Amino acid sequence: MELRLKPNERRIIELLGRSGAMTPSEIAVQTLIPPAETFEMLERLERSGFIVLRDTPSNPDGKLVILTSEVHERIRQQVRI
Amino acid sequence: MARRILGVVVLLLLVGALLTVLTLTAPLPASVARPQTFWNWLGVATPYIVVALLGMVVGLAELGSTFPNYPLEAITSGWGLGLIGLNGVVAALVLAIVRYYAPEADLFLLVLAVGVGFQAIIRTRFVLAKQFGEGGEERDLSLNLGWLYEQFQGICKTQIDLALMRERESAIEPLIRSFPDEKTLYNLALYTVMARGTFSREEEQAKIEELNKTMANPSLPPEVVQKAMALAILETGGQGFAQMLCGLPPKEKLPPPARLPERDTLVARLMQALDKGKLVDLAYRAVELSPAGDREALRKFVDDTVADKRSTEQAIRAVLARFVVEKGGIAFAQENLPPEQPPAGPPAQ
Repeated sequence: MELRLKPNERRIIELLGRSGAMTPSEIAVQTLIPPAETFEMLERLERSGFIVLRDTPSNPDGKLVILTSEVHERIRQQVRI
Repeated sequence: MARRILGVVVLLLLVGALLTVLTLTAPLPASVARPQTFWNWLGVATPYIVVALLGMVVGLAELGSTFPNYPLEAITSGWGLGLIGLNGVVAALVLAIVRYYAPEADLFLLVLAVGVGFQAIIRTRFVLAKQFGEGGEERDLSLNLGWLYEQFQGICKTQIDLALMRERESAIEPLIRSFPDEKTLYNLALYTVMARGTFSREEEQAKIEELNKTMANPSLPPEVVQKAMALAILETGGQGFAQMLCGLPPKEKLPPPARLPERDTLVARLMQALDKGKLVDLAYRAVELSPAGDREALRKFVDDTVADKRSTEQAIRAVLARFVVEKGGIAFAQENLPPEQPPAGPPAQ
């Protein structure tokens, strides 16, 4: 799987690769990407099959972001190389 | 753990006692004198002990391969120990019978034949006549010497499975209590998979895929996802690791005021207690607490968040509350929370 991403999308994917599951607000604060832009990017990444957005009512954001297995494996390979 | 050790000791004592009775009462070949001292007895009993041990090792291996995720728990469960003991005692009994009917046979060969051969025979199905063609296995004429053992094995497997399920349930409950949100449980499960040095790349990927499949399934309620994640931690890391994780946040060890709240809990409390204006004010104060070199970028982020017209107010409040906790710190966030109202008591009479 080829990861063709814009720089900010790549930052999000790498952050998720390092940290595991995160909420959208955590991602926005960690990357300092404004909220609207972060949410749009997350939706785009979900449509492209890079991440999964899970509804979590118990969470303050109501959503949880995780990498798909393929992307996770791809990042692990890059780290190992 | 003490219960498991006690179980093993009881099994060894029982098998030892049965072997003693067997060697003292079983008819011996005419060439062998009845033992008078302990050392004499040990000499007579050694072949039986070897055969019993071989049988017990086979039983152990069977349990270990049937329950690869919980080998120790399966082996030390009551039914597991029973299966191991039965394998050992029956093998010794068979040696006694064979020795009685073949007193002149070489003892070493007998021990080998019974210790290894008997174990193979009771697990073998001999096909006497086979039908032509494929798929007619059940209509073949066969002699299944292992039928009885298979039935007992089936009962043991079901009972061990049920016992393990009860243990699993009681082992994952503390995990869910200690980490009540899906995010932390998922991250711990992910870490556990990646930290296991013995997984091959394929095994690791398969485990992660399993975790992600559960997380990506929108029809699964949070309770099920939590249990699945806790179970993955338990199965991958083992019971000791799960117990260690539960001991990590010092919830039980420190008195309540010394406990640090979870960041997500603090974010939720800030969102609940403060309106957007107050959160913005706190976010700017958090910027001032940051290192001087970071302040410009952080201030711009808060400016952009406040000016954001495309996101919902709920989303903006979540980002501001998160910013306060992450950049201002837990102590700063706690200081700026209104004191929690004690739960309402019963009305005064």
